[in-house]
Amino acid sequence: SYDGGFGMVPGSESHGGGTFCAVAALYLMGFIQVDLASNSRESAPIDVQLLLEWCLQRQAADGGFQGRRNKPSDTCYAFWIGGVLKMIGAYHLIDHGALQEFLLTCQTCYGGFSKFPDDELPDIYHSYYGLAALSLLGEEEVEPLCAELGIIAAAL
Amino acid sequence: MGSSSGEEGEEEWVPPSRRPELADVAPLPQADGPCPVVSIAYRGDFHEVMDYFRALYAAGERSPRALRLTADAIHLNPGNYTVWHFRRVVLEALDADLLLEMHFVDQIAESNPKNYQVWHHKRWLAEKIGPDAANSEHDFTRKILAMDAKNYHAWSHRQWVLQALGGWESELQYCNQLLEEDVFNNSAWNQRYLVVTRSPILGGLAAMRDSEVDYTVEAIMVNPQNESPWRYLRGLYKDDNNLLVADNRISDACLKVLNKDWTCVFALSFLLDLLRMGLQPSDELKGTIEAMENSDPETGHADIAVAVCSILQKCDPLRINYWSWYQTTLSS
Repeated sequence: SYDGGFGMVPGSESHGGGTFCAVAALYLMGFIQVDLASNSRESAPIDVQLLLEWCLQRQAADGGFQGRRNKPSDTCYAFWIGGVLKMIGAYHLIDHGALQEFLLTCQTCYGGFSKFPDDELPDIYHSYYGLAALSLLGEEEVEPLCAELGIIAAAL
Repeated sequence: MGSSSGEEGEEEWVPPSRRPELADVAPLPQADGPCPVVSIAYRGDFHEVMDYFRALYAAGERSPRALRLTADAIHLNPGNYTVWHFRRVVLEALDADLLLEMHFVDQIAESNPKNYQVWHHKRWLAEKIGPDAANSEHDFTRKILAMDAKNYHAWSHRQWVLQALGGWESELQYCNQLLEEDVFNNSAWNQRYLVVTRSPILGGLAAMRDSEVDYTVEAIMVNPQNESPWRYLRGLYKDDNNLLVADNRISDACLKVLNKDWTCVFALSFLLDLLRMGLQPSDELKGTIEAMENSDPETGHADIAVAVCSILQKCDPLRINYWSWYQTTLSS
C-alpha cells in the first residue's frame, strides 16, 4: 500500500495479517535478505524502510499492536506485526516492556487470552497468538519460535 | 427452535422429516466413523436438516426442493461452504433468478457481515449479473459500512465492484462523507487513495495531486494527531521524493503544526523525512527547531536532522529505540 504495509489484495487497506503473510511468503522464498540490526547490505523487492515505519507505528499508546491505523490494539497483532519485525531484524526497535504489559492485560481469569484487554472471554486463536507473541518477546518458559513458519525453532 | 427457510411470513418452521416434498428422501447421517471421539451434540433441527442435505448432495440432485433445503442449512450455519457451493451448483442448473438470490444473500450478510462465504457468494452473483449490479452492490456496502465503517469485507467487495463493474462517479464524495463523520477512519483514507489513483474519470494521481494536497493539509491542521492524513500526504508523492520536497505547502504545514505544538510526532517525523530527502531548511524552520531544543536543553546539534531525531526520542518514547537507531544512520 502507499503507506508501507500490505493489504489483502492490491488497493486494500494495509493490514497486520496481510502484511505478515506477504512478508513471510517473500521471506520464505528468499527475496528478503535484510537485517536492520546489522549494517549489512539489504536486498528486498519491497520498500523496507516504509514497511518498518508502518510496523512500528502500529504499536499504540497502550503498548499493544493494532492491525490497522487508528484501530484498537488486539492481542494477535503482537504476533503478526512482531513477526514481520523479527523477519527484517528490527524486533529490537519496539517497546518490549509496554507490549508485554499489554499482553498480560489480555489474559483472562480462565488462563486463555482474549482479543482486547479486560475482556472476560478468551478464545483459542488469541490464546495461541498471545503466547506466540510472548515467545517473540523472549518470555521465559516459552519456546523460541520460527515466526515465518509458525512453528517452534526446535522443530526446524 | 429452527429458523425460517428465508420466507417473509411468520410461518412455523416445518422440519424436513415432516415436509411432503421430501417424503421420498432417505436422510444420510454424518459419517463419524466407528468410534467417534468428542462428538458434537448437534441440536435436533440442525441434525435433521444436515442429514437431508447430505442425502440430496450425495445424490447430486439439482431441484427447487434442494435449493430450499440449502436455505435452511445456511440459516443454521452460514459458514458451511459446502452448502454454499452446492447452492451455487443448483442455482446454475435451475437458471435461477439471480436478483432474487442476491436479495437472499443480502439478508444473511446483514446479520453476518464478517462471514467469508457470504461475501464470496455475493461476488459470484454480482459477477454473473454484471454492471447492472454495480449500483445495488454499492448501496449494500454503504449500508454495511454505516454499521461498521471499517468492515474489511465490505471495503474489499466495494473495491472489487468499482474495478469490475464500475460506479466510480460518487466515490470521492462518499469518501468525503465518511471522513466528515470520522476523519480518523483510515479505511476511508485508503479508499480515497484508490479513487484518486485508479478512478477512470478523475485523470489519475498527477491530475488530482494538487487538490488532494490541499484537502489533506486541511485535515492535518484540524487534527494534527491523526496519523492517517500524514501518511496519505506521503502517499500522494509516492516514488517522487523530489516533488515532495519541492512542494512548499508541505514543509509549511509541518512548521505550522510544530509552532502550535512542538511535540507533534507526525510533524517531526515528516520533517525528518523531508530533510533526509534533501529539504533545505528555511531560517524559520531552523529557528523553530532551535526553540524546541531550548525547551529541553541538551548540547546543540549542528545537523538539524540529528536535532529532530533527538527531539523525537523525547516526544515519542514508545519508539525511542527506533529514533536512536535512526540517529545512528544519519551520521553514516
